[in-house]
Amino acid sequence: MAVTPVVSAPGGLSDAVLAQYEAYPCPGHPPGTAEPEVPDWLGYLRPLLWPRRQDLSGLKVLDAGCGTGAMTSGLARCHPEVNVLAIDISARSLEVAARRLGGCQGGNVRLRQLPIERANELDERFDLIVVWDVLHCVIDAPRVLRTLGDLLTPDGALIASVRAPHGRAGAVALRSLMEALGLGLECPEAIPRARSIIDNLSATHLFQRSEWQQDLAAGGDAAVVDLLLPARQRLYNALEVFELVAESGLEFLRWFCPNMYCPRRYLADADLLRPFEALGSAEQARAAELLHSRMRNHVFVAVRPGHMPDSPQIDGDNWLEAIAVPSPLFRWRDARQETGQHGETVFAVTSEWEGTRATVRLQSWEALIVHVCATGQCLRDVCEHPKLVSGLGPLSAAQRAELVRGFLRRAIADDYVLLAWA
Amino acid sequence: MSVIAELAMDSPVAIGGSPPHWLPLAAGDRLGDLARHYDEYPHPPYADHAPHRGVPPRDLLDLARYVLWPRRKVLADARVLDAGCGTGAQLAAMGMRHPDVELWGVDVSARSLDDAADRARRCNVGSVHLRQLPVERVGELGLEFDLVVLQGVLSASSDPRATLSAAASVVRPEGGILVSVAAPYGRLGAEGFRELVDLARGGQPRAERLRFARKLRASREWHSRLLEAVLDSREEDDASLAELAVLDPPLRAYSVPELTGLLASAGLRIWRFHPRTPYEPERYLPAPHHGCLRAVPEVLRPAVAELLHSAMHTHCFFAVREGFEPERVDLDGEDWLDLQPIANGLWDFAASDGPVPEQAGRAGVATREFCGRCECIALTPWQRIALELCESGTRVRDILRSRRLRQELAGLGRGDYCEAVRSFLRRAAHDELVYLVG
Repeated sequence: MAVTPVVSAPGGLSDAVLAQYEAYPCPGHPPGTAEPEVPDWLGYLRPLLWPRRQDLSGLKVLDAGCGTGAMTSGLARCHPEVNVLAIDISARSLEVAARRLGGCQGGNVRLRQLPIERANELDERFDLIVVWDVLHCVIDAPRVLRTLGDLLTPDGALIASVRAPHGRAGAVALRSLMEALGLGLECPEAIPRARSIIDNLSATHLFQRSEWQQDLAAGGDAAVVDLLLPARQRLYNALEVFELVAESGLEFLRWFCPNMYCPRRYLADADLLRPFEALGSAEQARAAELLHSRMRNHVFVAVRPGHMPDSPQIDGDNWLEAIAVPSPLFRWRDARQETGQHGETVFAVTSEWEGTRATVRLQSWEALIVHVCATGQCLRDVCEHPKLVSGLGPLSAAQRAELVRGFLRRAIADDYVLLAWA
Repeated sequence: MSVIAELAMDSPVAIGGSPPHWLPLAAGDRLGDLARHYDEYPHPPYADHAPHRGVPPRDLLDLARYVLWPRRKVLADARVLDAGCGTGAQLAAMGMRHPDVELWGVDVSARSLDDAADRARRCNVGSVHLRQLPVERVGELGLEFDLVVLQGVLSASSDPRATLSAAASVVRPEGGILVSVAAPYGRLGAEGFRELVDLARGGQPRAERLRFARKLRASREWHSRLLEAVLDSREEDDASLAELAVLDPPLRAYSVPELTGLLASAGLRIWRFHPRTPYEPERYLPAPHHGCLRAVPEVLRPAVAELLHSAMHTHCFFAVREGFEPERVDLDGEDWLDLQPIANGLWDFAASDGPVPEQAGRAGVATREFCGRCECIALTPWQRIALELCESGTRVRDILRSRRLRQELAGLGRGDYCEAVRSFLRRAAHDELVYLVG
């Protein structure tokens, strides 16, 4: 694979930010560090965004603000069939990214130095634009999103991760502390001092070292800088995410993990839940964020206005023509056998995304349906599959179909099974 | 002299048994949402079966003396205003402990003033003048005060500058304002809770919003470190929950830098936080950092401490007028033997092992909790005895004469003995284990 950094003049719009990333390319990736294992998030998005695409070959992806190429390298390893263009303002970050991608086989990746504010200079259109942990440090985020949105193909989508306030309250307090102590990035003792302060904080401090252990250990000095000494940092709560998307002329499609944004995930009492469920989706998401109270990032998908992927609906007339895809975010191969409440065997499957773990527990008949769905046959064939005919007991074809549909309804709502067209 | 002050002179001051009544606002004066809220949910909640728990060992006026006037002999000629007195708990406490002091209380809520008057009567406190008046209009009393108490008032004020200016205009040049106000970092959970109630029940009648808040608080289905703070300690009573969940506009929290700016705009400055030591950044970081902390400008030090603590939910402090420099007393002066060290009641003493470094001959630890964080100070047996001797009226001279203390330190010569006790008391004053008064 050839990685050719195409360098053009940076013409940076954000000087302090550029200085930070030139000095401390982010995310920190000390030489010799193993590439972290990344869940197949693109595989998860495929049925949601392009329900009629059988595979992703030729998909054009823009990694806007790629930094040291963490997302790009994960994507190139997992999906060598897609084309990725990765841009960043920082030459040093791109050097790290190039090194990182050097060992990557078979992908088709280009790197180019370009601030995302000038992405309009790209003479290309993209099916997917990734804006990962970038919008906190740009001056005019809606404008950046608008610029990027103009580069989307008609059925393209933009996925962004922005920084959220609650999970960062402790880090924000420490950032103010560094400022009050006069320890800016220009100060040579700022980083050792920041580390030492973190090590000596009392157990009751809002900043809990344990919650950031992984980032601090893997990211080196860059992680300390990014957390405690960022040149610019704008945080977005869930309501502000909706405002941001609206201001940028795009349309909010969904949260990457929609489950996390449902109040019912946090409240069981119907009397408490009812008023929250009567709210609009933005307010529901905000309530869920408050109930969760530790969210660090918000990951969402936006599309061109009016575009809605024509995904099959489980309650649609032709649901039998669809295929059900087990979410690639779950580690189905590592399913554990457990004993359920009534002594029955259940299968526990886990997903981990951005520090959030989700586990679903399936009865053996439910696991059997997922297993058969994974063969990629349409649901009509799934329902008549010999394994299900024998496995689900003596049922009429109609009863069996209803059983499968009922299970899928729940599985889709809980986001561990997705529907696509066969 | 304003109308209200004239009326005040005419109004009978009740002595013993008969209820001090309160003077309502003139007809035509409009009362806002604040009055409506506190008429519905008086604060602090007043249970008429238990108006007080006996004469308090110490009250806000004592505290003001320790901090602002350490050489003032007599408090009887003092005049105190509790601005936003609510149901009058502090007024009753001061009235019981200092029966000769002239006490004034103003509040907008008629129901709260009823409770305050009733409480004063039941506590046999006659020296209280109660007026229905917004804090912003205390200038109309036409009086000057040694101490103005502003508890929780700034947080509920829609115009905090006006509130502070009004308080500043009635405080004597050498008086002080005792402020307690909500602080942001320790209230993240409380603010989240409020937003949840507003999202779910905004626009509904107050009673319904409060019902929902009560249920949401009681629900343990959801949990989070931030919100737990709301569930655990504060806002345990209905009036406090109402203040948090349904007061409009919501309580406002101020960080130390915000307070400093706000006070400056009213010609005031923070003289001392109460308690003081949590606002010293050195208390949070080990010695190698202290050099870096020394570079921090004096005015920023409490702000740095606030960030190092990170869970302060209330700031309490004495503010004074710019230019007034309260006297300080310390044990390095010539009169050190005549100073009185007064034990600070905020500390708990325990003989058991606490989370402090091992120290030979330790008799116990003094601990003080502030916004979820504990300060611990190890004490040797003789130090414990010395602290026990620090009661109101005991001079250093008397402490040195104590037989128990001399027995404990029998190995020391006369000079070393005095120096050991003096240096311990110096440290105790520094750590706020004791207040020193002249």
